[in-house]
Amino acid sequence: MAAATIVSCKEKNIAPQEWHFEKNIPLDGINPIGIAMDGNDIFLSDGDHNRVVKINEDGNILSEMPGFERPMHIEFGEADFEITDKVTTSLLKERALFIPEYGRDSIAVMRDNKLDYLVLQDSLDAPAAISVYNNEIAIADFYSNRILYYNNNQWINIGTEGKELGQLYYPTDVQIMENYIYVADAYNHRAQVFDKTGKAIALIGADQKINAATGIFVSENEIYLTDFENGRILIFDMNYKLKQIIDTEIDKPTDIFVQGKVMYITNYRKGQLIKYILKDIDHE
Amino acid sequence: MKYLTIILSIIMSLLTLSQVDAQSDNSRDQFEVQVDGLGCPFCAYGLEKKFKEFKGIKDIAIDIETGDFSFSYPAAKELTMEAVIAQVVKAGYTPNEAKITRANGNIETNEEVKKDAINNVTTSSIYVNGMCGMCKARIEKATSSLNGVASSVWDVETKLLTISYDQQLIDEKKIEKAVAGVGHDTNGTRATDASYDNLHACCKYERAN
Repeated sequence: MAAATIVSCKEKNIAPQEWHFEKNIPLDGINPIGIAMDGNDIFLSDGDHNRVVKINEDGNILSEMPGFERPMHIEFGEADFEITDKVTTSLLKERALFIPEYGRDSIAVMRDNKLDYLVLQDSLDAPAAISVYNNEIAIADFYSNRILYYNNNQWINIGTEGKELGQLYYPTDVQIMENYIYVADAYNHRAQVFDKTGKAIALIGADQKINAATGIFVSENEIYLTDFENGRILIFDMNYKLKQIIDTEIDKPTDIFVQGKVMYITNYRKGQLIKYILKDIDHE
Repeated sequence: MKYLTIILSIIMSLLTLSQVDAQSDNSRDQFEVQVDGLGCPFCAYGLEKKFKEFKGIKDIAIDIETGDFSFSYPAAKELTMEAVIAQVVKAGYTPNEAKITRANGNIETNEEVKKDAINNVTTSSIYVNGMCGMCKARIEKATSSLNGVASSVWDVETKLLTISYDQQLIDEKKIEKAVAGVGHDTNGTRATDASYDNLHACCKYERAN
């Protein structure tokens, strides 16, 4: 099932590695949908309870931000964006937590307990995720079957409703990287890659019998995709080739966050955070 | 005396408030709908979002596991069963059983007509295309409610519908037609594109050409 990653360099061979289950962290009274990290601090959006919580490694709540309306896939980012507190408009110039509010069709922006909203020129219909990268921003607009993307100059629509390459069917997560935009094309049961003009580049996992690809995370070398109904995470290389499938303790996953050799997965229904560790493959 | 007056005023205010609460409870209709297709939180919150278009809706509760969806609504607005069913469909889901308990105690349901007695049971296996547990619920509901059908069970893995029925009351063709009517192809009957398109995104199986 698992295909090893083999990386080489001029000086030495790096041992192939794969992800191993580490622990199940119960979350008392939290049904996590999105996860974001700020350093070692873990933040979860708790959609069922309309809040965002900061937890420790044991799953205990350290602080709570209530009052959101169905917060979804959250993300930390820093960029020059216009924000409003509904009275005045200003320019955000600091690192903030971006919180898509699915039930309110807005993007909340939190920093230092101050709440603002992203100023958008277009209306959203159930924003499910946001990605912030330098001065770019992408929003997965669930019911509009599109990604709303700001390229640091103008907003463009990516995707239309459908099943073909370049079309989306209820996108639930998005991530901008240096050259491409990666989308969890949830109910087309796959991921999709677009360039920054909105041109479709590739489908990922379309042949893996995924049932609801609700969350995506892209690192430097891998693409991680949740398979919600089947309780799996599929890990692809940057050529979209499947490297590993993990499923131990994974149940109704909605999001993934990878930092170094640690991966966290949110188990929505059971209210759990699942931790995996990247380890060298044993050679006997 | 002054303090006594204040205390009495508070008690009277509280009594008035509780009466208002009781009145508001009595002035709301209660709605319970069993919804097919709520696979994930995105779907459940989506249903909630679409129903919030009904101004005055309160007490919304959704169980993703069972598909049980309930809410209350001002009785004065006389929200109909048809409007509720239409809104579930508009949100992209399939309504099953629905019940309204009106503020005056009257109960309305979307229950179907009673079936004839079944005498001689025949069992058949019919291939029905589908994807998941939600398809299973839909296929079994569409077939078990047919007049003449004693039982029906669809297997997600084999995609076979094992159905027991009275040949005097119904035949395989009618069963296949009922299945196709809710969007699922069989070997003998293809669902219309419209009914296939109406399936929840999670249930859109790969169709044979």
